[in-house]
Amino acid sequence: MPQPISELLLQRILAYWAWSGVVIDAATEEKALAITARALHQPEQQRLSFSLQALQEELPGQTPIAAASPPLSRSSMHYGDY
Amino acid sequence: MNNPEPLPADLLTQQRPRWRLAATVRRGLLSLAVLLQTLTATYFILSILPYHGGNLIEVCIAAVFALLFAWISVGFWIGLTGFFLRRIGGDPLSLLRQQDEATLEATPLARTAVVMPIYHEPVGRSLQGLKSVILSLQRSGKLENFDFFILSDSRDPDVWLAEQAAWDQLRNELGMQDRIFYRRRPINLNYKSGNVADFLRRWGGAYEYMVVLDADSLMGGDNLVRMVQLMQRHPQVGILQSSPSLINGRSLFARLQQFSNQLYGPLFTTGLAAIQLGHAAFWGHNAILRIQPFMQHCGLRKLPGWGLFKGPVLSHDFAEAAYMGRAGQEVWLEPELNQSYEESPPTLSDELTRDRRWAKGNLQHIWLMLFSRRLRLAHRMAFMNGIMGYVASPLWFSFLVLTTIEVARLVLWPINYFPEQNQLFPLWPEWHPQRAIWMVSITLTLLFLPKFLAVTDVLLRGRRQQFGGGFKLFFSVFLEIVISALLAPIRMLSHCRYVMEALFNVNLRWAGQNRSGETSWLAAVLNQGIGSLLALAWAGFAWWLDPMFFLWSLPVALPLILAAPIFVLLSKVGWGEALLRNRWLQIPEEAQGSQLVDDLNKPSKLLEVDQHAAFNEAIVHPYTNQLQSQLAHAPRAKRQQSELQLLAQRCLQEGPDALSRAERNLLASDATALRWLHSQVWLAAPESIWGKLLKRRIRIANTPNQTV
Repeated sequence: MPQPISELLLQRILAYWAWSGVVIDAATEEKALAITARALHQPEQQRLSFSLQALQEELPGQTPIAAASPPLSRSSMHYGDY
Repeated sequence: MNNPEPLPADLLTQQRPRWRLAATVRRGLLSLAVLLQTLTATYFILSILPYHGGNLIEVCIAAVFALLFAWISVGFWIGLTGFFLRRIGGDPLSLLRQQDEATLEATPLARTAVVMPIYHEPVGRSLQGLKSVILSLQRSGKLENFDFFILSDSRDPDVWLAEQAAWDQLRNELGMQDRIFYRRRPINLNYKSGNVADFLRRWGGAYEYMVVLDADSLMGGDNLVRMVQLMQRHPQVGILQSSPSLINGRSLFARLQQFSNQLYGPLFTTGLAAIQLGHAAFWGHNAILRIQPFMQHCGLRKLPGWGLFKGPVLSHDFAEAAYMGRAGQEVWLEPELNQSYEESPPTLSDELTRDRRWAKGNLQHIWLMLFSRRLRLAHRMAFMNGIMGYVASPLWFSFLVLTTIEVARLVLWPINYFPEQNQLFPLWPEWHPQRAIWMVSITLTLLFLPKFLAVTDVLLRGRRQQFGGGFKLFFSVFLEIVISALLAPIRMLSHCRYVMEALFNVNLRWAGQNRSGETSWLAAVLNQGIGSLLALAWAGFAWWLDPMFFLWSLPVALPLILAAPIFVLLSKVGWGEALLRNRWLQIPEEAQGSQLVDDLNKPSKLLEVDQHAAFNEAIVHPYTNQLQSQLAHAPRAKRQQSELQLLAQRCLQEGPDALSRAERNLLASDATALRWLHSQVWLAAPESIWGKLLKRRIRIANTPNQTV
């Protein structure tokens, strides 16, 4: 039996939040259900995009990741005789 | 990162030049002992040969024998020297003993970069090792003097994306966002030495010292601190090499290797360090280097010759030590710096794969040894030592061929009693089997006496419990000797192949190398089949010639015939673990525990990083996508962008497996492509390729103890 669309939407919303560091508790589950319910009222083609947009609105803004390397402190390698 | 302040002159340990005189005396005595022993043994073997060196074959046999005997004689005397020095409490001339403990303890540290060059290594293990080092430094209370760099040369996007994810995980776990750095070179020039040189050009100016770790290295914090302090007190020292012990072996092979390394190793490294003193070699890792002279003198030019002797220097470490020596810097090996570890290859197959590379690298040193200008004799000898490590195998092989010809000639051809014209008296071939047995006994003594001395040293130091207790220690030594005797001919034949490959610059691969955890029977048979057939034919020929010669051939032929089962059985993890449970082949770290090693083996999220699905993870996982996008290229020029868009479109429609590694590399390196793919994948229909991948990923996340 194919997965019902509501289950698919709910699963993706919760997974996205969980992987983004949101704690999944009763309140977030309620929010996820609300987004799912609103998405189901959208045209069939737009349900996934609606829910993705809505779930991202609930996320905190992207935090910049600390630099991978320190400021450069350049100097040269010298190549002598063999 | 501030530029380091030089240590005040009154804190420097006064250089005691007497080590140079001692080095000359010790090396002179070693040369004399080896020469006398070799001459005596060669004279003895000439007396054993039927014509006492009276024909070309016998002259060749004696010459090859002399070279091989000299080689094992060097090892014997170094082992003996090590035993003697350990009995008197260590070498009084070693760097560690040139100042007292309190003085060393009071020495301030300088900025030090700990660098770990990696290239397609097991990501979780490598970074978990680095984490153990950092935790150990934290316990030593000196962490603030060190920064850490992971220097990647990996080309496979699944591997380098996993490296980046693990690096982020590591610095978040330790709260060291501004102390643990990651750099991946876009172009891999000159292998590992090029990778380190790239680091030095960018950040070398900010540090006084650099500690080089291998992907499987482990070094204790106190040891690292001690190494920096030694460098601080001895400004004439350019490289200080620790002597890494093998740990963490699980397969039978790895456990045998680490047992012999830990039991016999200290004797040989003590002896070696005593002979080399300030002209030691650099082994490429688990060492500290003074950055300024290293950058000034250790840039490696490409070799200008032909074939093997053209192109980048593959084994850079010996060359760098030699160049440091040429620049007037000292290079020391300090065997008493504890808590320096690495791991053994898990299987014989993996070890031989590594040897194939090393053989090429060491044979390249022939050029440097012969043509490099103004190198110290000790460093030329170090090159020679490395070269002989591989050339000894074809020499041994030649010895076997020559002795076979000699026997065949005696059996198959009529004996010529009057080889010279106008000869008055007949020339009788003489055969002295008793002398031959004596010769074998002497050779075995040279090979095994240092091992027994190492056991004696352990017993006299009251360390038997660390190796499982008296009975288990002796059983383990017996097992190690039997298996190392079985392995010697197998290694010899493989090394012959590698030397031929290297010298003729060709690849004589017989079959694909086994890269799995344990060696499969098929891989072992394919890999060793030709060698086994060769040995079988030789043993059969020996039997046909003379049953006595057949018996002499057995110690070499039998292990080669049984090579495939030996490969398979030694790779068994279950056997290794069964021995460990029963305290056979036990090493001190297993007996008394080590926080450093325990940290390495603790369950960790780093070990869960999956380097087979990192590309998918970079696209699917919101946080990972954010991380990888921020580390990737900024948006590119319009033309490149449109090409990448087409590629991303294809990735979305046909899935990641439809793309080549190069194509996935392009996408993973581009921030725009990564972000676009991420947003599209979360909109993918459930029945599409990405929809199914996403569903599977969610299912795995919801199932405990499963990895991506």
